[in-house]
Amino acid sequence: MSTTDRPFLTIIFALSFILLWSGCENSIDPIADEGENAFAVFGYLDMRVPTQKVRVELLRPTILSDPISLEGVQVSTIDRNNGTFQIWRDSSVVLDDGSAGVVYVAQFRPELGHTYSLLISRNDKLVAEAIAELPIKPAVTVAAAVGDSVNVTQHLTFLELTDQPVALFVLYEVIPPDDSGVDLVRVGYGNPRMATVGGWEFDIDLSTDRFAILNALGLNVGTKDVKLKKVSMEMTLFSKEWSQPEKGENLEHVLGFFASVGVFEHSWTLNSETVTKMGFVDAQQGN
Amino acid sequence: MSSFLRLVKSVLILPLLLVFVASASAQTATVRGFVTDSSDGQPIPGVNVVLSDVSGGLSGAATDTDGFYAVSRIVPGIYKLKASFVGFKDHEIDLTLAASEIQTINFKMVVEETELGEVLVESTRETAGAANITAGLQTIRPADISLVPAPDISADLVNYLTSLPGIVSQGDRGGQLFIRGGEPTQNMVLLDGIQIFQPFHIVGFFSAFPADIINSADVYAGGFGARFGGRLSSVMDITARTGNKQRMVGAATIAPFVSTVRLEGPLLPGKVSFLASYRQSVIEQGASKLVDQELPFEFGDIFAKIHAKLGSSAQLSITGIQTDDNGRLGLDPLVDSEVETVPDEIQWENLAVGSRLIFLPASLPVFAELLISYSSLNNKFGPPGDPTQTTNATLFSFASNLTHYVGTTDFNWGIFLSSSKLDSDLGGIFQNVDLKVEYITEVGAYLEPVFNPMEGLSVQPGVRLQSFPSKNESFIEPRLRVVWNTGIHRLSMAAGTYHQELTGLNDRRNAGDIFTAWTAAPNGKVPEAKHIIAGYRVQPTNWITFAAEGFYKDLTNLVVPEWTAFPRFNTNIQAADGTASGFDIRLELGSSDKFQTTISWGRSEVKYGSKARALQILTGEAEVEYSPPHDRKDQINIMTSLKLKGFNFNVRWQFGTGLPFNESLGFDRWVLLDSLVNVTEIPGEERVLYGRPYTGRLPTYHRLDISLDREFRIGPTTFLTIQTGILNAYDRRNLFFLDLFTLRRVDQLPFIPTLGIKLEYK
Repeated sequence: MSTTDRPFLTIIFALSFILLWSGCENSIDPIADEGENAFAVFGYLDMRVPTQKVRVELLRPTILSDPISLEGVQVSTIDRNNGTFQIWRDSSVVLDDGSAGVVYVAQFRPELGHTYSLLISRNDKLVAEAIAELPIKPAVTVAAAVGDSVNVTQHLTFLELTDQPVALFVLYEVIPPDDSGVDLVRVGYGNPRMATVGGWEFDIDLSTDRFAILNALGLNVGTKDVKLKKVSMEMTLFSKEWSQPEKGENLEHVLGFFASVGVFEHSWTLNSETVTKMGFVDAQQGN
Repeated sequence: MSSFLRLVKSVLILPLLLVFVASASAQTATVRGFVTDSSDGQPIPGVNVVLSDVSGGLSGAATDTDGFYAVSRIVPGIYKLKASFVGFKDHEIDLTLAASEIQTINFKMVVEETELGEVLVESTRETAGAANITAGLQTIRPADISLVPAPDISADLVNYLTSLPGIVSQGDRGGQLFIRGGEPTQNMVLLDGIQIFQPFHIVGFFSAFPADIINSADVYAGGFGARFGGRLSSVMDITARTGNKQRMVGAATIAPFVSTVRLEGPLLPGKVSFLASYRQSVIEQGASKLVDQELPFEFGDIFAKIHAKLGSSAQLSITGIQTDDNGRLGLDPLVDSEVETVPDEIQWENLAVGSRLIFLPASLPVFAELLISYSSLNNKFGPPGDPTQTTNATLFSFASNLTHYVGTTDFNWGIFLSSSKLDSDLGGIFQNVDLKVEYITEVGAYLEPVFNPMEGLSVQPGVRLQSFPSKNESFIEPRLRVVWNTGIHRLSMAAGTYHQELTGLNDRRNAGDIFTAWTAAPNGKVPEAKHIIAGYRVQPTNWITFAAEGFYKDLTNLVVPEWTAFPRFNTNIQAADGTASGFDIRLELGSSDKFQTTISWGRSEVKYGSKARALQILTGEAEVEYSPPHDRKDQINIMTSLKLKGFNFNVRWQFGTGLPFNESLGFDRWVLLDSLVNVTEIPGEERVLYGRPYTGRLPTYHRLDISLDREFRIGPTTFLTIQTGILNAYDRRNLFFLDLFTLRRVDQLPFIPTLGIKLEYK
């Protein structure tokens, strides 16, 4: 064999070796690296209730796999505005289909405008984090009521509203004619009606609300001596994650959905003429 | 649009110009005709027909798939006209040509027979050769196909195609071919000019084209000329045999996968013949028992052709084909293998019929072809008898192709008209596609002269004008093909622009689901491809051929399933752009007489890029690039064929790097939080979470197939052939499909010994 044949043979042997080596490989790992030991979390922080709950699970390799134990897993939150740290308690639940789930629970009521980090640790090592920013209270402007006694309305504008309003109630504190005490009547308006530049606009129909109030108190529509003590509104806001639940920009090394629900109130004083047009007696403080 | 109309007018004015040019060259003569095999009347493609004058000057032509040749612009005089082809005796006649004369000379070639000991061997007809590729065009003859070991004694075209570099199949099931980066629905398959929507059977060794019915097949892996259009990737132009015009012959075969009956013969001896073939799978009774494994596939096909010579200058053929396939490819992810259920199955049926008239006008040096055809596809997926997804596509087509022979230039031009009806029910798999019954009309014309400015050089510029009046879309597609033969070398290139209005939608996220819905290009964007191919071929001796070819395809407005992290049961479609590039190298040693080896290596890369919102959200990138599931990087094929003492011994080894697949992140129970849902009560829905698209690679694919056969003469014209073989000789567990839901794998066929018997009356 000539020496010039050697490089050629070397290449042939090298190629053969590579082919044989790669060709013998027959196993397959269908799970992406980032999926191993990954968590999914579903839930939201809710200002309306004193108990917060999120469901946590480890991703399973197949659809037929049993749920993976969360032993050694700790869920906690830290309020980034004031540093309050809280460990959540795990709780096994039976879901509607009879299957088991693990829910983590904490006793606190999140605050408007605060940012919370949901921390998932395993064996004392932080493995995942989800962040929820509670909605920020918008500025509210209340225009003077307009209209006659059969159609009194009032226009509200919410400025710098970055979060999504999902429900709005107008709250009336009223005193029945027998002076039996102050009753709170909530009149639901559903979703605010229209977006405007830099916020949302909304009309309160005060005349129609009077009928709802009388109905709630069990009084007939001709009742005259009901006193209006206070008027206010309560708006429920969804954080921005709700608008694009698949985006998951607030999730680090965790899948699923984590968001927040905020509520804020705003009260104002109606002038006496408007209260009279509504058919109530003005008992608001300051009037 | 106005420029388009101007071009259409130009093309329609062309015939008048050509008639004028033909008249102008009336002082010269033309000789033309058909070359057939005297034993059975079959046309013989590739025959050299040479005209020599008394001074030794030569001119000539090679026959096409119809066995047709034409030599024009001949100075009046006395000539010798000789036809020669390997395996046949030379045929020579004396000829006197007068000015303006057009003579039609048909040759009937006589087979050359040789004595080898006691065995009478009919000289083998020439193979075209795997390395005989010219700018993406590969011509395949039945002799080529017979070199590949197959599970059936009757060889099949698709088994050969999957041995070629640049053609990727899913494996031995599924019937899907990806040609140089293109998807199966981007391939046009023509049988005698009739379009067949889905001709490849569910078992990957078989198609509707057994070698016994094929005269020749031209496979353009890209860069096809202006005569063809409406597809982005490739064209397979298959010509069926015409049937024996001299005597009745036939064959019957039995093998573990399929049984075949073929019959052919004269209806009017020497003038009208028929050819009929019937195949039916016998997997349940054969292969399934051999491997003791359920192989839930069934397929069959019926082919028939009548061919008539209408005098010496015209031929008419009527071809019909019907295929049916059904079976189960994947697994139902939500069904435990232990539980008895009715699994989903895929089913499709092709029905096509067409006629082809070719004639030579007496007073013009013209070859004319008229094609009329009907083709339909019915495709279903879902529980048997109650499919959840269906598609019906029908196509009526008319085309007229003409070639004017003017001196050294062949002016090819034609017009075409087709009408399709598409009716699909996708069962909600593509959420953003609202399919309805659609009608697509396509009309157009093409012009593609072939200039031969110097010895060995052929330049073929072309333009195809394609209009869809029903969609108010028109396209002008330039084409170019250049071939230069110089000595032992051949340099070639091809380029072109292509559009595909009739689009196939399928959900490639699941390899087990090959359901394809045919529809007009969704979203009003017609997929487009631009091809460029360059190749080199050298044949230093008769027994060595080397070829290398590079290609690049630029793809835009592709329709692919949208990528989401949500369950796979439904999806949206989205637009994607892409590229396919690569090269292949082929080395062929020996000849088909005794020993032949072909070694080929194909290297390619297919990339899709998408700006779909779901992918942007998933990755945080503006455009996401990924390898689609047919991106096989490297493919090696080694085929050897040895003929010794009447035995044919064929070996094929195939190697392919792993195909991309979707890696899963895992499964969770997705709680749809579109309102204030109580997560302590609502269980949610099972969801598979994907990472980036197709980041995983399946294991490499490789397999060795071997066959040995011998023909025995058991009567004057009766032959018995026995074939034995082994599929997957070293029992490689090649993965076909991995179900991400359960991690259950479906492997391709294991080690299978085969035995086939063929009884043939020649």
